Amino acid sequence: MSLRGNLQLQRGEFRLQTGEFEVPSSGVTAIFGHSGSGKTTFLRCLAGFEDQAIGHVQFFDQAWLHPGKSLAIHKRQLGYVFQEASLFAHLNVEDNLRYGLKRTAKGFIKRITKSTQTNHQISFQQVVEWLGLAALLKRDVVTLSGGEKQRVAIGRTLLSQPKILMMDEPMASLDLFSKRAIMPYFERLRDELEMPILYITHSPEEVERLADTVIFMEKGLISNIEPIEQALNREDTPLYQGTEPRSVLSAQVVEHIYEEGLIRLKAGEAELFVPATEGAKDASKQVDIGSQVRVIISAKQVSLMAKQPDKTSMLNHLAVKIEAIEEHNDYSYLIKLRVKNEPWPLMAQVTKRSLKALDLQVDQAWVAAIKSVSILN
Amino acid sequence: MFPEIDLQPLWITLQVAFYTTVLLIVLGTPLALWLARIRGMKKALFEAMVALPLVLPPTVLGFYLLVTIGPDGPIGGLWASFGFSPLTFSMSGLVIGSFLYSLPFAIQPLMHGFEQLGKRPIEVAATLGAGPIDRFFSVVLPLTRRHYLVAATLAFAHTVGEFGVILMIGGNIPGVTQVASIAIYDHVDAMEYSQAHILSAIMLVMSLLVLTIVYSLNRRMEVKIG
Repeated sequence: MSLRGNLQLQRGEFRLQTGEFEVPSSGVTAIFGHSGSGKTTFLRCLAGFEDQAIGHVQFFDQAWLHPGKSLAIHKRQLGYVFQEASLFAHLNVEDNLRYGLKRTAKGFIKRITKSTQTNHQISFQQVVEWLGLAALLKRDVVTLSGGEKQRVAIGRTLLSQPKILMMDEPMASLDLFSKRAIMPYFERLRDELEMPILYITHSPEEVERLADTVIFMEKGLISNIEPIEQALNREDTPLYQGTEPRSVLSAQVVEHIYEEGLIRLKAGEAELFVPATEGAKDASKQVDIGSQVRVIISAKQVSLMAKQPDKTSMLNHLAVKIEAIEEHNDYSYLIKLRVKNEPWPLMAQVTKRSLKALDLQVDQAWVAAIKSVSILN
Repeated sequence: MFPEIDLQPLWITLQVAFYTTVLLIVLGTPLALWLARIRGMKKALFEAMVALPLVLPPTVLGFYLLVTIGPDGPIGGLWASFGFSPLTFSMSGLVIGSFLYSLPFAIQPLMHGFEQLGKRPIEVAATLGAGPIDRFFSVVLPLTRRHYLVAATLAFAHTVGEFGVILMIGGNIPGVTQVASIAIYDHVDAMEYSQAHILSAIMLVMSLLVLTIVYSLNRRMEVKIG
């Protein structure tokens, strides 16, 4: 675990009380919660912006905060992307990008001579290419659109060679169009950077697409830290409060069936056919054979059959075993199903009437027929 | 023909105003940064203290200064015990008096500039690896340069126009502490209207010139915050 600690902050009526926490040393950790749950305060305390925060924070072998002493922010080698891009208005795009880079130049030479296993430096060219900034370099920052500004802010942060990246709802101030345009850049960062990323959001969709781990926050407390699949599959998950129950399976890409526009996946022992989305025509978004993907299945789209059907238009029918049955609402139950060798359960929503008629019981073997399946990322 | 006229007071005025302005900008920056950061009653009290010279009659300020920095006063006594020549009736005394007298004119624009800037750009610069001094010169100063221009201009102009404080602590020693505003008063007192005319006209033209330059600079230094 790379980053751990325990933080408290009292501000008026609001109290942040994290308890002991640990953040994984790689991948994206989403901080999820409603507005007012203390997500931003938590991240700001972690970064060192709040002088009143007490407790301790340790990042690898560096003590960021311990009673009576706080390491200056500029010595922490952390990158922070704010909700608003916060570019320096007196510098153009290129000078904004180079602001942090210039300041690492001296320290960097010291670092590489010290250790041979170098943190490979993120170069200016790399960032310009990743974030599509080539055409913007000489522009005045006030002339940029919201999405462009945020891309410059991210590039500027990456070039300061941080060892951990913190982002506070970097898409919150963007319109839907800019959000869609910038999302692939975030996915690319997640895949290409080796540093841990902490990402605040209140959007379940962003959690689904980007996160590997989720920190749930509520009223200033950290209620849970768990891997994404677990967070997505938990029945009382805060991610989908008020939305339809659904399940997320992890699957491996086996084959592209181009002539039919489908992708064949393997989830545990079962096979799934999923439409290759429009996005997959775009080479950069194409899912590679052998790669792991998350598929999402609404519980309403899953029905149960006694045996494999002879003839059906439904593509996906999986052998499953009933693990648990729970009442969901007035007229239906949620059935927790297990595909052999698949780590995550499949949920089916079944009416009380059907449950009774079919006499569904735990441990019975059934076939789950699924009407629609989609790939998450 | 023009009467014989002593331009020494003009020169002294400019010197006092220049030193005072430099001192106000250098020492006023940390004070204004601190004022921009504090909150509540503490802020109200210290803002009021800085603003005092705006409402106090200059003679009141001058009187208190005279008793503190005079040879028998607490600060003046200490000063003398180190073997320095007295502060009163000297150029240093004039600069100290002008510093306090013009303090609000320098501090208020700077403080507003820092408040308007907010802490965000400073936080950003810190996460990008800039230390406190580096942050000030690479981010705060360039983004508040208009406020610095206004602060320096007002401090300079206000010091040039000073009369009461200087009269109280500097007296009116020709060639040492006699500034233009007092020299003009003396000329009028002695019915030397043509000398008073010339000095006044020079002051008028000079002030107009300085302000014109400043306002044209001001427009060019605009930094759009966005």
